[in-house]
Amino acid sequence: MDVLGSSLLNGVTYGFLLFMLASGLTLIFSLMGIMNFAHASLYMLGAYAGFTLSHLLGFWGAVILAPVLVGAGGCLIERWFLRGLHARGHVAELLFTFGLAFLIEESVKLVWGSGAVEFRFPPALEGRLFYAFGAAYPIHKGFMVLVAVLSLLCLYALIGYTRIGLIVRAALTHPKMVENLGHDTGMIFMGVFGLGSALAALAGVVGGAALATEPSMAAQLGTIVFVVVVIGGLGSIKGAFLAAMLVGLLQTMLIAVDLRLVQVLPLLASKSFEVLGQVKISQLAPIVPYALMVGMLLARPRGLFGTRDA
Amino acid sequence: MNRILRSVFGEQRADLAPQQRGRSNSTLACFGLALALLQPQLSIAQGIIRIAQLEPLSGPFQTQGEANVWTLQAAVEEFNARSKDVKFEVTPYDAKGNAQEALNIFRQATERGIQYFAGGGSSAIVSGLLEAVNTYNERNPGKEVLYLNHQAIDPDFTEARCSYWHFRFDPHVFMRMAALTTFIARDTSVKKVYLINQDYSFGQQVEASAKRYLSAARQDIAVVGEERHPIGRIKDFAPYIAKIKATGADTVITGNFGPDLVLLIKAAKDAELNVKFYTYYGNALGAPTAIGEAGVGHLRLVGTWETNAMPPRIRAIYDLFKAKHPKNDIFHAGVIEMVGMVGDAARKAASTEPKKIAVALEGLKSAGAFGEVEMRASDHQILAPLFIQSFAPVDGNQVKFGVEGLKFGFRTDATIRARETVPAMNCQMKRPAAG
Repeated sequence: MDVLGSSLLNGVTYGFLLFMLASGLTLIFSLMGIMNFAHASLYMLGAYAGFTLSHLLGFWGAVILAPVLVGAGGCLIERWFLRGLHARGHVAELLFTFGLAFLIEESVKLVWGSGAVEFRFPPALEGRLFYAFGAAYPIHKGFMVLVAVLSLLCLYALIGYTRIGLIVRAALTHPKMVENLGHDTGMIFMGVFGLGSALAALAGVVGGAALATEPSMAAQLGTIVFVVVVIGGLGSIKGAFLAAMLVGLLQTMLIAVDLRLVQVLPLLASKSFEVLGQVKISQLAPIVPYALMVGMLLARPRGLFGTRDA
Repeated sequence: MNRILRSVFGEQRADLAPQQRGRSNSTLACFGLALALLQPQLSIAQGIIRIAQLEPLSGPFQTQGEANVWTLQAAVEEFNARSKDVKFEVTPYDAKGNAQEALNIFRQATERGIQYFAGGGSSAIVSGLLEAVNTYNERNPGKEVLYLNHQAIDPDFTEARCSYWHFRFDPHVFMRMAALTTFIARDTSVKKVYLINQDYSFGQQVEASAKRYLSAARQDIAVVGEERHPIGRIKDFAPYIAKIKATGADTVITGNFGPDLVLLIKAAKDAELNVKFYTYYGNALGAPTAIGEAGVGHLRLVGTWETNAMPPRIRAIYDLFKAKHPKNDIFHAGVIEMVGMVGDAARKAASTEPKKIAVALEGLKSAGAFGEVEMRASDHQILAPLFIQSFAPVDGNQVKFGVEGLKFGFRTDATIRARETVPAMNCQMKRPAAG
């Protein structure tokens, strides 16, 4: 029972981190119609910027300033590169973000070195927040959830209840009409791309300190975030939330399962599947999200809440 | 981190000059050798042993690769300063923790005439390199190269897959596990043991041998769980810690190293998991920093490095290392034993030629870093002392030096002499024809 409880807690925590990334990605997709392959790289950039800024301004300064900087960088990318490519169709944009991801990764290696950097939470966030299910829940994880929830609420309020949000929502479905009404859609696109980048960077500062800040972090989390967005349905924030929780919980809960495949599927008991049968379910945890994505694309290509096919 | 890249590149660049010098040196050495053959009383003219050191200098296991490069640098610096006849020259390469990359480096280095290879990173990469060395020597008689293994401790390399061209300067998994389990068996508070390891050959060996030796040592110890996780990929070990907690384990045995150990220990500390960690590599690369004060009495290890009893030569190496890298630590003696033994072998053979060094290394007894060591002739496995240590505050007496700039270091609880670590002989070695 304790394992179930703490796995739930850990799964939800991980899910929130995934969601912070996925929300920005899916927002950009719904507005611009492109999958931003460099999104996870912006997450990494956020973590590294946070690392450097935390030396200059302390951790709290870094939490605020790193997303602002990366968000501004995102605006520039949209303004100077993506906008020019927009006219040439999605493939050009897609290829651009793909190249950008590699460019960012290699630049990070040049600037910060190719190993992990020592980026940690300040002492104020170390220690126990509460004790449940036979294990302590550290403050920094609570902080991670808090940041995710706050940014989610802000995003929700911004899109759903402000005039800016109204225009953004209108631009999602009727960009030409919005433009004809005299709104600067270019500005809106830039703003949304910047906002998505800032969200990724915020996740990066928190996630980098909680997990590890290293050049491979983009590739590792990036693939999972795509899985989340595809399962949730491209462009759906609600879907991204549910999928993030689903993937987070699934990955965490499966680790807790102490059975071997043969115990679940007696079919594998035969001699020819001996090796496969001895594989533990917990060993499968890392690949399950991908299997889920493949399954989802086969059964329901638009994902849980998507409106267009992936 | 840039500093490292620069130091590595810098080294390769700086290496160009000695290389050219080296070529003339090796002609000199050949000349000297010819002379030596004519006049046996004449010792070798200055011979250079050129080693290509392949380590992961980027990616998740970078810290481990760097520590090995720095340790070897310090050991070689100390050796070269003392030695008049034999010198070492080491070029570090970034094998990126990738078997293919390691093989590419091997190919390039052999073309450049390098005859000694060391390092590799994980056992998986060493496995490929070993294969490459065997094939190379088969195809290039007279130009043989040697593989000096200072860290890959998969027992297979000196058992089923033992090779005449491979020498291991580090006690392997079974030797360490035998020592560790003997010690654990003496601790009556140990009742439930949990095994968590990386999911590849090394981790599997640790898991299998732990079970085997524990049940032989004490019947009443139960292995309450065994877990293997993907190597270098897990960033949050909290779910694993929850699982360990649920089993009620009082002791965890793990062969994890690098980030896999640091993040495991960090997650355990965050969740306030109150167990003893018996590790292979808990004495460096961030693990002590990650656990901090919470590790006192909980973090333990079996290893080959003993800062509290350093003889003058080792102290000199330690000082050289610390002068350049005050925040890091030497974490095993394998690299140092390699330099010491190969140096001794070169003097014994009066040659720096791999084939002759191999002959000289077999059965060689050497002073060793912390007591006499021996290279077993039948399987090329070193027999060296092992230490069981636990994390403790520096008190100037039992714990003389802190690690990673902390006020904590390692206290030695038990010393296992080299002859007590002798493993079973399971090697049928294919030896080259005499002459």
